[in-house]
Amino acid sequence: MGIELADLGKTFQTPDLTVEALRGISARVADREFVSIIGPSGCGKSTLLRLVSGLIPPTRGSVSIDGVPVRGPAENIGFVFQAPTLLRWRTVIKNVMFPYEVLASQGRAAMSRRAYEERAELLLKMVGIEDFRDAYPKQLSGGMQQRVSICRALLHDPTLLLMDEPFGALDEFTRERMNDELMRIWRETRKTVLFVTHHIPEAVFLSDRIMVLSARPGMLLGEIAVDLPRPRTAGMRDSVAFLEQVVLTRRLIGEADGGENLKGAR
Amino acid sequence: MTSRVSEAAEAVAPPVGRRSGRIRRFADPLVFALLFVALWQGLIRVTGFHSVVLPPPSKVWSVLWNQGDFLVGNMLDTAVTIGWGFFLGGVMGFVSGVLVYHFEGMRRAIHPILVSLYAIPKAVFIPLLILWWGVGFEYKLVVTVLLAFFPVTENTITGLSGVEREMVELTRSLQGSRWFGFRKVSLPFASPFVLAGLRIALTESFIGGVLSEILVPGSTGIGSRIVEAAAFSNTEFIIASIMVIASFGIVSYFLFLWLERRLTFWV
Repeated sequence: MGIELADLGKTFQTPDLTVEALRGISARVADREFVSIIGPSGCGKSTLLRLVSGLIPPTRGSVSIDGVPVRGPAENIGFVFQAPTLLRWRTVIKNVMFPYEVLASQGRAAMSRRAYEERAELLLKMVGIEDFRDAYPKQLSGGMQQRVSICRALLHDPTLLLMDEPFGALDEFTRERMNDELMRIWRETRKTVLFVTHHIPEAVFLSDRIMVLSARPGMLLGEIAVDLPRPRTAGMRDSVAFLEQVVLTRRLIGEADGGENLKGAR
Repeated sequence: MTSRVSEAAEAVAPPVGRRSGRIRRFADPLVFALLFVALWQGLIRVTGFHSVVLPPPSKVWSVLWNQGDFLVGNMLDTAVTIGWGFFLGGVMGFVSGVLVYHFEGMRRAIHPILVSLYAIPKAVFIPLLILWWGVGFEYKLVVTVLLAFFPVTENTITGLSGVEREMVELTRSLQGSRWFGFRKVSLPFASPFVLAGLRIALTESFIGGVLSEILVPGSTGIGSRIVEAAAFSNTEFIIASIMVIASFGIVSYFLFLWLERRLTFWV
């Protein structure tokens, strides 16, 4: 699934406040590409994901997915939010099955309930929490909850995965483990991924390309192609090539930014 | 799953076994109540209070024993008002809460009015209601509905307001309908608040049912019997009536609490 952003802009207007979140974003994301969006807090990264998904309409410009302009919630999207956003009254498996229920309620389910359930179990196994199938969210740690929400986003086999700082609230160890898992999932399922983060090593480790946004209003300062081989595995983090790429990326971000707008980014 | 009550009780209770802990949870208040009754009886013996001011428990007991059927029969009349008032007030409160929350215009125009009405002591409306509906069942029902309505509305609005933006977007990002999102996400999310509102409404309904009768002697229901007994200084009858009302109130409250805990097990 390819994405094209053309002169995309978003301004939020409330009776007593006008906030320009994004301005003049033009970019392309190729099919099956993993692209990170990096920038300081409050630079409109989340807004960008919501625009791409069609959850909110742009003020200016347009988003097209596979050449079709997005108007309203787009089809075949998996959304992973910053917080796990699990439904606390549902067991893990029932949470993962949520997309099936939505699709089935409109007769859009591609497979039977049983088939989706098998897929849900497979996904849980893939992220190593199959033993918690019938547990409730409050019985899981933050990292485990986020893994459930990733399984949920993958259940209906979306072609585009939108991830809004999904590991932002996790400690560094868990974050790295989740990154490894995400890479494995991505290798196995091959989706187009738009990944929002403000963590440079994470962006480098995961991405084919990194889009750098400025502070509010978010503008595209530049793009960085990550020159690292695939597959990306845990061991690569200690490699000189990886560390050099992180340093380079940090410097490119600094240059693109003139050292001013990205003070908030690590 | 153990209930929160038993966990809390275990936290404060000395380390007796689980089973005996459960028995003591009921036994301790009971023993205390019996002690209180004994003290009451003893005090009257010693001080010689006139039984119009404070009758001894034995006299109250004899009313309960001899006129129990009469009391419970009247209480059942009252319970009909309470039940319907609770049901209608609860349904209306819930529906209006949902509507007020979902329509921006209503939220702006009607919610402040609802909050203002909530702040008014509802009893001031009673003379007006008697003027409009007389002193029959309709009037009592309206009083009860009026009292049951507000806590449910308020709590429904509070619960729905707590639904996180991402939870709504989760359904929308899958192209789910607003109705689906309401049924499967917002409503379950808000249900602990709604149920808590209903629990308050239940006790309010008891107030409404009994109060509306107390103001109109000669009508049906245990409230009317109480005012009549007061006219004859029949204090033991009044106290016996209070005990009948209290037992109905307590039993229904704890039944509701039990149901609430089971319905919202994840809280």
